[in-house]
Amino acid sequence: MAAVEKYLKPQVINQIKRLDLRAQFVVKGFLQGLHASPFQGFSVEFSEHRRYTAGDDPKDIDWLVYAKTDKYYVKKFEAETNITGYLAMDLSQSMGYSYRQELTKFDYAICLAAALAYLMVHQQDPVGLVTFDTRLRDCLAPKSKRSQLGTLLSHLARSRPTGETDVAKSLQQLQAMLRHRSLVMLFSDLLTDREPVVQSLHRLRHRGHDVILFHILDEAEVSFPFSGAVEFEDPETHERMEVDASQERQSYQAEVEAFREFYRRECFQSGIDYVPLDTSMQFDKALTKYLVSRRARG
Amino acid sequence: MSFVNGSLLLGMALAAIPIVLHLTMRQQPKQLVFPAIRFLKARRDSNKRTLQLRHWILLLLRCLALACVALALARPSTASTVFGNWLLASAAGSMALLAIALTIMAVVWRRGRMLIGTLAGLAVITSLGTLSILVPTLANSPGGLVGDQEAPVAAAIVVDTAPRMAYRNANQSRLEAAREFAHWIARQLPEGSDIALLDARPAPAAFAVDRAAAVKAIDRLETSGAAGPMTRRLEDAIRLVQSSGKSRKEIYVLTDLASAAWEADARPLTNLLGDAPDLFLSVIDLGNDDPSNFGVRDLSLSTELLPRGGELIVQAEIAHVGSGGSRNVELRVEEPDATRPIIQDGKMLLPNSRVRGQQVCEFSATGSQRVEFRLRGLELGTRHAALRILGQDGLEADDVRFFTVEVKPAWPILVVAPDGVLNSFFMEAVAPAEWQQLGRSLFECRPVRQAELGNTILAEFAAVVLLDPAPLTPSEWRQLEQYAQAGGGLAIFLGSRAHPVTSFNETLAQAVIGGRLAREWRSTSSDLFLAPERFDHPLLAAFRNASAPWNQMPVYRHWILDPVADDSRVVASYSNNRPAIVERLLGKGRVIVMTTPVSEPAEPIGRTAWNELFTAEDAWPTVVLLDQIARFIVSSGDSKLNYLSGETAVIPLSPERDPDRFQLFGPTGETQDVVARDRRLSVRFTEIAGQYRLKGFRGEPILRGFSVNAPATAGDLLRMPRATLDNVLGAKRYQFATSRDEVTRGIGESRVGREFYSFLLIGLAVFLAIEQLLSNRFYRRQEATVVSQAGLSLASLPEPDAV
Repeated sequence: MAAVEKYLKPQVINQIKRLDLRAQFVVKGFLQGLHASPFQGFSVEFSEHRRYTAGDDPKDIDWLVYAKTDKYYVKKFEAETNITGYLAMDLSQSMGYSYRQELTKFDYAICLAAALAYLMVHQQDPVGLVTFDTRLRDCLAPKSKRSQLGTLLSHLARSRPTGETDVAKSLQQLQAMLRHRSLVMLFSDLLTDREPVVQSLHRLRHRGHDVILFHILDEAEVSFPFSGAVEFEDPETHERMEVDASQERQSYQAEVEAFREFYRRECFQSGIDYVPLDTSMQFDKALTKYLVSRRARG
Repeated sequence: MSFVNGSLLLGMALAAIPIVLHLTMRQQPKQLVFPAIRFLKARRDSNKRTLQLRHWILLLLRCLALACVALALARPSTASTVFGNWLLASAAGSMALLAIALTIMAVVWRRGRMLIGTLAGLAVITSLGTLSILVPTLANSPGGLVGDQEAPVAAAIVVDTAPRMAYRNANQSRLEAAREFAHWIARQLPEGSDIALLDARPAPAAFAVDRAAAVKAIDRLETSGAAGPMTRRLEDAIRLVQSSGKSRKEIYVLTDLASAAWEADARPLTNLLGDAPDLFLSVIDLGNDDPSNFGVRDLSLSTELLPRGGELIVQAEIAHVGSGGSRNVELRVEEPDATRPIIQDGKMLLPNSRVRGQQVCEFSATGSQRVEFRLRGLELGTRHAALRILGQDGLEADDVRFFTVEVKPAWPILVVAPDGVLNSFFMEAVAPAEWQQLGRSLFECRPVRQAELGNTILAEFAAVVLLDPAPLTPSEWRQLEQYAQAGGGLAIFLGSRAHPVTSFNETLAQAVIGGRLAREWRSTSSDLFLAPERFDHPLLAAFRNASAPWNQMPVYRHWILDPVADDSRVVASYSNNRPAIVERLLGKGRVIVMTTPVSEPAEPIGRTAWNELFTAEDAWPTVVLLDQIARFIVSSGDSKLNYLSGETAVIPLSPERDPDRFQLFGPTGETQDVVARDRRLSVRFTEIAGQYRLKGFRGEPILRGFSVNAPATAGDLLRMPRATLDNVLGAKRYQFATSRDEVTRGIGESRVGREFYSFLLIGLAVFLAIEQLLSNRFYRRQEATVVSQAGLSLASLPEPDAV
């Protein structure tokens, strides 16, 4: 539970709780309002009949209807569970970076994930976890048990952001893995080629999954507070570059803004929620803001 | 171009420091891990170029600033003449640098070809322009002339010492002011300089032995009546300093800029100045624009030699400069006193003088008036007199003008004529009976027959005149020749009796007559007459300003002198260009031959008259001519008694009357012995205006003397306009100064040249300002963007509390 304490500090929980208590409908809106029971499963609540087609499970045939109409009809029921959530966590080495903030991007992502997991578990929504770097690493099956939060956080706490990343490939793997329409919450700094990532996101969305993209950058990566001659080293590729930081700041910031704008535009077009964050923002406030804005939108 | 502190030029090396720092001491970059390196890559290349360019621009500006500091400390300077060129070259060079920098920037930022081409063209043009200014400037630059203020110079101080420099204003005469100024200039000159002091007297110019000698010479400066034009002295000064080995040459002219002292046509001076472009010429004006003065100008005497009882007419022009006033003009003549001058108790006692005339001159403004005095009854001997303006004014030197006349008994002239020749015409012309009775006649004629010539002692006569002589015997010719050789005057008027002509062409006769008698010229009409053309001979001086009716006095016959002897000179000709009057200098005497007689009656018996010189209606020119001939042959023309300052006075002495040795009493009281040579006294030292008295003793005291005056213009205070001075010296060729400060500035510019110091400091300020501006622009803007970016991310989302 140490991990839980680390990432769900009492003040954070209070914040989340406040959120929870204050607005049941927010969560409902967040999860139910947006995802209005698209799935049908084996539940007690009848949904509809439809003609039997080859491939349907024969045990689902409503024999009473057959008796009355002499035709095969299949009984459909509304699924009991609202949605399955997947927390997709980028484990690339760049995620472990922090220049002058308390939290690394990874820690920040975990905090966000913890809060979201807490919310979902509290509503008996199953939530699972996938971590990836160049491919999927770990996968925790979605469960809605209360113990799932602890499992999930302890697993994340054990994880270390190391190595390179391939978000696009990992998303493809995740997509292949998902059988039902799910809510994929992706935590990444997206410091990789953007075109493949966008394509994977499109594909995921195309399969009907709901995607929230938490784009987490370090505060230094956004504001570029460096000055003078600096030699930067990419932690993943170990590429070095010497620049006059003061000189480069403006163009750097323009590039970052362009990068975020690109994702914002692409995500908007395909109906993905894009949440740009940097580690200087308080994640709970940021999350609250996001949820409030999402409710207002939906 | 030269430098006051040349060694400080090494400081230019400091300009290398920023370059070295830039290249070697580059800041070690901080090593940082940074995942978002990909965002840096995108614009890296163009940014890097911009950055480097900015660095280089700042570097260049800093180097230029340092170079300016080093240059300013080295105090570069150049001669004033090329200063403008240097400034122009600097401006053009700056433009060229700018154009080059812009071209490079355009290339780096990959601007359009058109722009790059234009800028490159501009850079080339400005660079070529800079070179085209710089190369001739460097070639013409007077290298080494400037820079060291303490290097010895060759300096000439030219002081105007004309009498008008004694003009007093504000209790100081101009000469005193000049002396003071000259002292100051001498003190300013660097140690070891060659200093020459030239006053206005035409004397050879030379450098003083040392500064002390120059200072003494300045102390000794006095006004001098013998002052020549300043233009000439300036020429002397230029030649002198140009002959010096010193590389720097300076001339200071101290003058009151009176127009009288400067010749309007000073081409030789202008040429000399043109040949000496390095010469520093300073004209220091000591005059003032509104002087006030009265002065005597242009004193003229009707004659300097007058017979006892004759009338002397003294005319003078009284000039006034200023706002008007009235003055008494007084003429004083010394009384005869055989005992004076004499030195008694160190003082010179002069004969008493008596006022012989007085007039009042009134002026309402600047102008002049003529005064005239008529003097009669002057005693025999040399008479000194002075015309003086009474009362005080600024310039005393021109308030008085001296003159000397000599009153003599009549000269005896022997008039020789053959029988039947009229001598009355001649005698009436030179010594009218009326005048003789009044004792005013200059000449006393003694007529003799030609036959008596051999028995007459010619030495008793001042001159011998032969009227229409018949052939003379050889002994008579010899007698005449000896007489002339000894200094006697001889006039021969050839006429109808000169037959046979061969006797006049014999050797003895030809020794006297100035040419061979070829034949008679005969003219029946009255179109032949005397036609003197040039009036420079003393004989014709009286006709210079008068138009004589020569054509009213026809000449029908005259002898043709052909050829004229080599040592003879034709004084006047007839209208047919044949010689009429021929002068020959024979030993110490003079012979005048006229080829037509002056003794022709209106209707001679048995022949036609040779001319109508006396018988014409209006025959006054003949009378004047004969009087002039008489004066000329008795040598009276020689005796000049009034001189201008600086002229050598020559006093002819009579061997019978005058002693060989005289004591000269100058105007200031100094005495000096002078000895006669060739029966004349020469006095060279006549600079000071006044009366010079000669006292000798031969049985009794013999008093002679002469007067010396400054030229009439010497007291003319009329100032010359600056434009005229510009014409004479060249408008920008000299420095015009009225104060020491101006001279100091001129000297500074000449010796040190004009300094670039102030311009370099301005350059430094400009470079630093641009550097500051650019660095602010390059760096501060980015700092500002950091601040503005910081609160951006959150702001894009709405506040939670807003819900």
